[in-house]
Amino acid sequence: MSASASPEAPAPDAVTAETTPEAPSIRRPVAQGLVVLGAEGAEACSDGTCW
Amino acid sequence: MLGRDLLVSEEKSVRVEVWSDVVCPWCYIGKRRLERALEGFEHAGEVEVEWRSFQLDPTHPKGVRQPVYEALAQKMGGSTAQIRAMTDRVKALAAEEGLEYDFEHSISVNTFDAHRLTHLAKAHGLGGETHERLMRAQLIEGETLDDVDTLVRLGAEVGVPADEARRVLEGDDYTREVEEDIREAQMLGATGVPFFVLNRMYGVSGAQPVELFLSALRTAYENEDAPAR
Repeated sequence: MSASASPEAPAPDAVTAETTPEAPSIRRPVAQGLVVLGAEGAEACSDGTCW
Repeated sequence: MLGRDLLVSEEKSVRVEVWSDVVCPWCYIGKRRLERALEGFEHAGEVEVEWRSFQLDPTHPKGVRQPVYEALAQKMGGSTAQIRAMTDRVKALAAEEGLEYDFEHSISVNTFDAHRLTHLAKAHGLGGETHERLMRAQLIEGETLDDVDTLVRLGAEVGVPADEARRVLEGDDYTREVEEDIREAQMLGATGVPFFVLNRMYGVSGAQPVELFLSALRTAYENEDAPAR
């Protein structure tokens, strides 16, 4: 199955599918219509903290 | 096989912008994972990666240098032994990507000038090479990335003209570019780094698994013609 992240598809709070290698989840649209793919809580640094 | 110039009207491409800081351990891991995804992406030749500036700690006073463990202990509370234990996981995951982090010798500095150097490098088509070199210097080699001589030397190693780098670093060139990168990250909703944006349509937050990057690349490629919202 190909990825299904159409930019028209997501509505806020509507799509919360699990992330798989085949189909990244559409987690949440953010500013400027950017659609964020992938699971929340991935390793990242924020507010100067990485741990 | 048709030449690329015959396929211009149907040619697809993916532009990946990556907001990252040279002191960010997850950013280097994310860079490696993106690179591995690109190795498996059938259209990798049509992907352009651009490194954008982000400062994890813009409030870090310029000129202040402090061992990373000491700085973290001060910022987060706890002993340096507790901080060491806390960093074990990121060190282990970095090692899986072939990155031997050495936080014992890492120095916490303000990274603004390192980003200005990267913007100069970008003007020479060396943005990616310079960002890679600076991350290695910071996270593995214990270099001091707010030192002009150090930055000039590291830039020169990847081809950035030393005289030009010194002139930039001793002045304030590329200040606006760095600030605009940071502003744009905020505008796009980035709350942390690394933050990957594909074709200004899709975002990937954090050092996600290689499979996720590969899937995101394919999604962006397949939807390249979709109108931006």
